[in-house]
This record gives sequence, structure tokens and C-alpha cells, in this order.
Amino acid sequence: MIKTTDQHHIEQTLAGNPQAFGELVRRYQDYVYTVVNRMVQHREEAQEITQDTFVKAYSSLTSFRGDSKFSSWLYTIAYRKTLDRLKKNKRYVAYEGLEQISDADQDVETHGLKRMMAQERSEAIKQAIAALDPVSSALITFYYYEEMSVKEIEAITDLTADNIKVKLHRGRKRLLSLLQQSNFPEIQQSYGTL
Amino acid sequence: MEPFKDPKDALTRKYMNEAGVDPAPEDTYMAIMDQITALNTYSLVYKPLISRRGWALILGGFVLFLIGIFWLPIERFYLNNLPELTSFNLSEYLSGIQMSSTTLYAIGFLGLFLVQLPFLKRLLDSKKA
Repeated sequence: MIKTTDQHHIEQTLAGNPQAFGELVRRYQDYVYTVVNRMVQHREEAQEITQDTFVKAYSSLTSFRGDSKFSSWLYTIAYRKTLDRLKKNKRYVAYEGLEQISDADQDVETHGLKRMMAQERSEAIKQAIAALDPVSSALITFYYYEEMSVKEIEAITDLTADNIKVKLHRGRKRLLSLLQQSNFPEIQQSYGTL
Repeated sequence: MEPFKDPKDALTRKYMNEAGVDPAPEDTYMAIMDQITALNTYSLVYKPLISRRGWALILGGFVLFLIGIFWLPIERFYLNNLPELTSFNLSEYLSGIQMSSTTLYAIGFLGLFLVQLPFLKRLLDSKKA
């Protein structure tokens, strides 16, 4: 089956058919929710921000010029809305602190991540991602999961390319370090101490 | 995207793919579509209370009324035969009204409230936008 392009649904929506936007919601809601949830670490709040993101996208659809992918545009809205929410709740600052403290707490943090099977591994990885600061977890999701380029991430986050690379490097290092402590055998074998 | 040169990058991608996506709660789609429908309803519901045609009719009626007053032979009409209307003096009529200061304050505050209405409306509209 040929998947209709985002542009087609956007045009249909702008022509006065809101159901066409529904198709875009179905297509991207899980991806947007994933990034937001990894940043806020709160399901209800993540759902609320995801909804706000799509409503904002719908009401601003005329301003989408198609210079970037529709998904990137959505992520830009979601990322900024999430940061605003974190700053409003003063949780972003708290996370910055957490990153420094949690190195000492890694043993406790990852204690429950042992004895994994396939599903447990996935959960363990999610928990390790959750232990990162919100921006790093978003950047890692964009770069490694969504396979976006640094340039695309630059447009979404308004961070400089160098800043993104540094944050990605640190985030990756911390993620692998957490997973190493969770006895992920391939890291143990390949890299010893990270 | 090109394959990574650093094996740690490749490993990180492998883990991120293993983690996959977190599915959005089931009611997310409906909640979004409800909000979008509400947005559309809001924009469609607005209709002026009096249409352009209505205003044209009212204006036309008013003009005819003015023309009637000035150009028609008003002596013929019964209104002209009412003596109390011709000797009607508004200031004389109002001079008999006495109001307490509380009532005057109330009228003053009501006036202030009415003056605020357009500003409040503009503020709400800008917030909505």
C-alpha cells in the first residue's frame, strides 16, 4: 500500500478537512509522545504536552512552509513546549543538578535493572534514558533513534552544532555507562570501563 | 544516514532501537481531535447578530423615517395634536428625581464596568490568539 505523503494531508487539512490532520496525528503521536515522555518523565504531563503540540501544529499549519520535514516541525513545537513546561515547573534546573548527583547514586539507580530478558532489556534502556537530563534524552532520541542529522537537530533545538555534539557525546557516554552497570554483556565485553 | 565510524555510536543506536517508542495513551488521538473540532466549531459559530442585509434595512428604514419627518405634511398626523408632547421638557421632568449617593456610585461603577468591556474583550482575544 502506498503511504500518502504528509504534504497531501497538510493540503487537505488546509482545504478545510480536519480529518486529514487526524491521519498525521495517528502517524506521529507515538513519536512525539516518546520524545516528550523521555524529557518530562511523567505520563500524564507527556500526554498533555503531546496534545498541545498537535493542537498548536493544527492552528499554525498555514505557517508550515515545507522547508523541513513535517515531523521535524512537530518535534520543534514539542521540544519547545516541553522545555517551557520544565522551566515553568522549575524541573529543568532540578534535572541539571540530578545529572551531577546521580553519578554517585548509579549503583542504587541501576540496581533493579539486572537479570534482563528481551522486554526487560527494553525497559532497562528506557530507564537509562530516563536518567539522562531532558535535553540529552531528546537529543539522543533525535540522533540515534530518529536518525536525524546534527543540522536537523540544530533547527529543532536552537542549539549550536558544537553544543549538540558535546551533549550527544556526554549523553551517549552516560547512557552506556548506566547500561554497563546494568550488566549489558556486549558493553562489558567490548569496552570494559567506559 | 551513513553508518557510524565509532562502534559506540552504532551500539547506542542499537539500544535506542531496542527501547523503541513509548506508545501514546489510547485516548490521546480522540483528545486531540476533540480539541481540533472545538477549534473549528469556535471559528464557524461566529456570526454577527445582525447581518449586513439587516443593517442595510435598518439604515434604510431610519433614512425613510427622517425623510418622513422633514418632508411629509406632519400636520396631518395625530401626534401633532397631542399638546403635552409639544410642551414636553426633559430637564423639568428629571428635576423631580432624587437619588441616594449609593445609587449614584452604583451607576458610576456600572459605567466604568461598561467602559472596561471592550478592553477586556481585546485582552481575551489576544490571549486566545
